[in-house]
Amino acid sequence: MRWGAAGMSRTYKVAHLSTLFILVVAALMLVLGIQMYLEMQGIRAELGRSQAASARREVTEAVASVDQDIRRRASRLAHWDEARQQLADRQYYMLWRDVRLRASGLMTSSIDSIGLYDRAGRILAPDKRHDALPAKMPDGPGYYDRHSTDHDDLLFFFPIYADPDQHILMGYGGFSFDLLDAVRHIRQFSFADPASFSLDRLNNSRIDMTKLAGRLHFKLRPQRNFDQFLLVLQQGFARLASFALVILLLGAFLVHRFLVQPLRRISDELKGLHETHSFIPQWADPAGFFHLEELENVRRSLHEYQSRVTTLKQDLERTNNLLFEQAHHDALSGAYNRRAFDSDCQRLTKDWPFGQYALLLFDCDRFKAINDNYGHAVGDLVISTLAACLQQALRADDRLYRLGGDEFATLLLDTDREQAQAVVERCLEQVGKEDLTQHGLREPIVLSIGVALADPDISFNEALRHADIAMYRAKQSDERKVVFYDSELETTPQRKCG
Amino acid sequence: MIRQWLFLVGIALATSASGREIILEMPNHLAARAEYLAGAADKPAVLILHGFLQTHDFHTVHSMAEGLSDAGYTVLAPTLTLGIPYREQSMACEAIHGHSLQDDEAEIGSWLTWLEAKRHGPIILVGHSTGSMELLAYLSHHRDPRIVKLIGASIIEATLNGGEPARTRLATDLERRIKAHDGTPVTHQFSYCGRYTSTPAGLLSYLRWSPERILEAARALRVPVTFIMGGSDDRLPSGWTERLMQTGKKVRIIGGAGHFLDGEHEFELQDALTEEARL
Repeated sequence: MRWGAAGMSRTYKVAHLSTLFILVVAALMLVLGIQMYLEMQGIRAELGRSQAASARREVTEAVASVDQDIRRRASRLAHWDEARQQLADRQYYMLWRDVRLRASGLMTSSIDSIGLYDRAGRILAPDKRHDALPAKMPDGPGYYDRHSTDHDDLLFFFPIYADPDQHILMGYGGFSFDLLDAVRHIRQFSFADPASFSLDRLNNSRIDMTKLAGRLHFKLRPQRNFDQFLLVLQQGFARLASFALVILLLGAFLVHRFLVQPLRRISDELKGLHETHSFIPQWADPAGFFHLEELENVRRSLHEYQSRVTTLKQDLERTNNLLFEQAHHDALSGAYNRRAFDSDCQRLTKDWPFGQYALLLFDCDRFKAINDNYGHAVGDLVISTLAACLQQALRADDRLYRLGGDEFATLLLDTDREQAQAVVERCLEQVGKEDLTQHGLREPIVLSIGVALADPDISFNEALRHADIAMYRAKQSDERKVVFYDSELETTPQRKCG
Repeated sequence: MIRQWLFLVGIALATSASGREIILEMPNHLAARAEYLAGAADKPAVLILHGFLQTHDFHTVHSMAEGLSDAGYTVLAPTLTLGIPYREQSMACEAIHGHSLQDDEAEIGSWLTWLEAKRHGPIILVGHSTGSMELLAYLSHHRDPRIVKLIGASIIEATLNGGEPARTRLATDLERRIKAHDGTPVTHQFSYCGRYTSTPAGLLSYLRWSPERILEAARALRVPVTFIMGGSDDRLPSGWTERLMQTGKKVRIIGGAGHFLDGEHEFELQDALTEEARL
């Protein structure tokens, strides 16, 4: 991330944004998971409270049902003729108890003993096999807790009347039963765990059954269905999170592979292009396939744009070169013009990288007369011919300048006197070969050459002045057409560069 | 306890004019129930006795009582206590039966005494099944000038599989037990019970009233006797109705009726009873 140059708007990297996106999504999923977990815990707690209340209700109802069942069985016994028969005559009571009573359906797995008591509360006959009932009834009818080392049951005693209107008490009936077992079997429990039932005992005390449920303790039945539901939910969420994570990673890979990398490559190459002015290559992706169409379009557009820019640049360079050529060449002679000479002079003067050099000035004798006598066409022909001869005589890297009219110049770099002399002679030789009679010129072309040998210790203008002085002397002489500057020649006016 | 019984008897008497249930203390000091339907003073009272181990609520008894009451007869239908105070239910065969025929006769006597105390005049005894046999036994043992007639519907002894030989063997065994003072209840097939548990003396008391003894007692009885028998009573031993006829007593047969003379034959029974009750 960096600050844009144009203002305060911020720019971001795609990689950072994609990473940030993945982290945000992951964080959201984590928050969602935590929230879901907390909600599950809340539901579990609420369910636990509800389950506890339901379990208490179950137990209370079960105790009430046991009470109703015991009382219903007691009523059946009290209204059973045979019970009254035994109270009237106990002679065969034990046989009746062991046979008839057990076959009566009044006993259950919870009621382990039933007995009859006379009106004084004395049992008709103790049951030696099931000593669950006391020989003497406690104080009156009702429920009693019989808790001892040998017994852990509840007792229930009820009156048995002779007459339907219950005026004549014949005796009592007594049940001994396992309350917890009776509660366990009286109904199905959905919330309370029957195996965990326990009871606060009140040794041999009368019990109010309506309050007994409060003394019955229990544990909650494991809610396997809900736990299973939570487990499935958690597993489902974990799978969803894993799937989302995989999707995120896959998305990150795809973004990195098909968006970040190409964009980064485009960015790097544009940056490199900016720095090196190189050309955007036609990418050769190692994968070779599976590019994003949009990025391919961008890249193709950039490439086409760069191609057009390059073409324009080349055209511009060609145009510039042409203009430069036109600006620095003389149209008639084809040699560099005075502008090129001045430019080269300034460049060389500014940073002179060479050693000794020779500055040569050429001038055509009687050119004005030729021009006047033979016409401008012949004059122009003389100029072009002269330029061609000189250019041919010069070395490959030497430049020929037409300074104006019939005056030419050249600069022989890293050149001593002998080398300059050789060039001068080649120039004279080339010019001497030319015959323009066929064009109407009936006189030879005579060339005057002034040469100034110089080194970096003197200024270029000084060297030019020396060459001008020498060329002037050569022009004044009919025999000596080549003059090398000498200080003795310092009698002629100076000419200055540019 | 006696005072309580008397209190209840008083209540029963006080409410008898409008009420239908009578509570009476029996000789065994147990309270017994009876249905009492007051009728016309100029007509005899009828005592209807239920069958073996049943109550006066048994539907045949109830039908007979209703028919006679509708005809203007005073009806008393007691329930034998069989050793159970305020007995309301038919006694199960498998119960331990300590009662005997003598106890039943004593209770019949108590109810007759009660009826006589109501100054109803002549009394007709009507029994159903073994109830008829018990009334016959009572009349054989008690001479009561107020009893003017016995009507025995579907009269039958307490049957024993195996006939007389089995009856003789069982009686001998019971006598031996009694003689040995062995009061341990015995369980035996008896009457309609597959397993009847009773004291030896109690069982023997009913066992002694074999078919032959019934016929003999009937023949010897001085009061008029009418037997009303179902024409299709499959509980009767073969030829029983004919043997009854041979006693010289009147036998009325309701064609197609079974042992309980119920269903479509209920009204024929009621008609026969009212006809026979007409003195």
